[in-house]
Amino acid sequence: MIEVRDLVKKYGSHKAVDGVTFSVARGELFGLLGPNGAGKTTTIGVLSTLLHADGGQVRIGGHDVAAGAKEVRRLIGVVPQEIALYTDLTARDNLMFWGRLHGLGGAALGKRVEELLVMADLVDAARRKVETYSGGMQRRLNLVAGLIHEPEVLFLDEPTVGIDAQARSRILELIAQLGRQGLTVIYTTHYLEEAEQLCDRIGVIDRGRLVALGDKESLISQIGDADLIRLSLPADRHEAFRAAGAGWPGCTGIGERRGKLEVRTPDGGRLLPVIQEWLRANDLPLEQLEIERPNLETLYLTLTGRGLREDAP
Amino acid sequence: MNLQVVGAMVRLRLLRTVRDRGGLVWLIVMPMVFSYMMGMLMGDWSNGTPPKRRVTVFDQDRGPAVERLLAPLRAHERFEVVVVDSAATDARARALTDNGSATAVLRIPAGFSAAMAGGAKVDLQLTVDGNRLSSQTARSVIDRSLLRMNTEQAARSLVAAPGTEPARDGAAAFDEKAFAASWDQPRVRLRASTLGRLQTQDWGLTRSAQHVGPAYVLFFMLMFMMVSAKDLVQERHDRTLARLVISRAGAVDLVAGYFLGGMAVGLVQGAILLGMNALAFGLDYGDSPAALVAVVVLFAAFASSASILLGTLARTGPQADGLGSGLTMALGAIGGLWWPLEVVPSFMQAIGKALPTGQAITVFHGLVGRGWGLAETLPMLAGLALWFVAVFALAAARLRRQVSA
Repeated sequence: MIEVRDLVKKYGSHKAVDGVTFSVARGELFGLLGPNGAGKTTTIGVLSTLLHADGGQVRIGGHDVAAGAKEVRRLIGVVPQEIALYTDLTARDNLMFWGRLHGLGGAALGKRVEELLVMADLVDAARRKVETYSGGMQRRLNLVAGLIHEPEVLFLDEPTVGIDAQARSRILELIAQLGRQGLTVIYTTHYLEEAEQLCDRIGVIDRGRLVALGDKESLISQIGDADLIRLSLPADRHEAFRAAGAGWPGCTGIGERRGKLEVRTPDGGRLLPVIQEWLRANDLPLEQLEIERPNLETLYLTLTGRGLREDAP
Repeated sequence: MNLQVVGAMVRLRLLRTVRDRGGLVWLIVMPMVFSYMMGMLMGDWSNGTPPKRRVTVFDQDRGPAVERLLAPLRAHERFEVVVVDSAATDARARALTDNGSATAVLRIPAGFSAAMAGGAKVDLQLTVDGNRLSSQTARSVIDRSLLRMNTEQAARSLVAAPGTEPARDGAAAFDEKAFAASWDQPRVRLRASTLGRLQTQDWGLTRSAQHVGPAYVLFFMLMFMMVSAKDLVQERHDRTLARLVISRAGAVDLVAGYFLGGMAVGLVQGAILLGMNALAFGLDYGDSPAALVAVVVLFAAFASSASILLGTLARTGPQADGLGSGLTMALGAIGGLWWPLEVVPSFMQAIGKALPTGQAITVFHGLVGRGWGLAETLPMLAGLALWFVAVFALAAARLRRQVSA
């Protein structure tokens, strides 16, 4: 359904997207994971015909987004990160307007608006101005406004930014429902758990480059099932710890992040007693020691050396 | 052009305007309040029956013709004639008008009645306060009364002329030469001098409402459009504009939608305010509906285009607000919406009349005060159309660039 080949987008001399390649099958829920400034929104901008690419090719439903923007726009719906609605109007007014803009009218438009109000659970609030809604309600309306013309592909650009856990859960439920209905979805986020929970496949993007691509299991397998043991030590003991760790069985590497030492190992349960013993022998307190099982965060850290919630430099 | 898209955008703009109750105050209520207040400040009460203005008459003639001369002025609903029985000087007349106790001062010299009966010619001396619109009316009433008396005197002299033979149909033969001599050299002439700066011969307006009514309609049409430029900035920032772009709307549809949406609001606002001015302040917009419609449509088109241009230039909402208000103030003040251009120095008049606001208010002055038809307004309408075309071209180009990828 969507094919992206060597996509490049520059802002001046800065490459916001640098040779990104991926494809999304019809009905697939594809996640684009990366921190703020990684190039997710720019990628969505090109895919949704809002930005011209400086290189590469993007085809949606067989149409080139540059040459066939008009055809592509008929296929896609976009839900921007911002609340792209007229908040001084009611939910119904907004949906009616967006429907008319997509060529709907009469009874068909009225029926579609009611369907979407039900889907967003906003029937009771449909006659209230959107500016009086909670953040979660605004997000849900923002989402269904992108569905008014029943697109085949939906681009969701960080649709859960700035809302509480309960509201986020309802949004995710709504997106999962769309996935079950067979809609092709590209979902950008920097929330790891959202990508893990929702997406069939995930592309990890960093500094404009796609650094990993696959389903959750295959991505995690790229880091070799490594457990991560984190511990805090006085800075003057780090060198001694590294020297000792080099000889421990199962220790595949020791790194440092935000002042904490990070020990990689295939089996954290076996290495932990060895570390505890070394701490006792060196008269160091056993504080802030934790084991992290491999996940996408670990993968991202491994691939980029930075956490997902850190902004791109 | 996709008419459904354009129609949806126009409908949206009107809907957003109607739903914004605070905005409606600026759209309708404030212009009427301003018209009312400015009508008072400019010296003439704008509503209902205005208070009578005094015309002081120094009667040095005391003859029978004086009452005939003053009768139309006495009968006029706006004037109170006070005859002062003493010898007057120009200095005294100036003092009376300067201190505001008289709208106009008329000195009737001794020999006026005799002149009207065929005696030696005399001049009447009228001093008017140029800054008060009512003084112009007093002058025109006296002028008219004197014209009638001079014409009667000329007619009497013709009838009485020796050697005139009755015509076959019974009417007196008409001696054109004798009439021309009487017409060119009337027995009594009115010499008028104007105090203050308002020394225009074609002012034409008799009430401040005739200026402030249309002026504040134009001012608030422009103001409302310009401050709504921030909506376009907001739509750019919150990605609503992006959402519009990826709908079925093409760039041309979006430009047309924004332009016609703004214009629709301007036209509705203009129609309501002009109607309210007519009802509340009794304004008569003259006999040329075509010119009236043309000036309102062209001004709304200019204002809508200027709003789009500002919306595409401003980076933030507050910047659009500030620039919009400032530009409206400048165009209003320099273009003669705050005060008539006739009261400012001639070089400022030239600048003001070149502005779209100056052209629009000049058309209104012509329609309400000078009996202009469409033909007389065409130069100003053409100027206004040029402004609209220039600003629209810039606005459309910038908006197209912003909505194109």
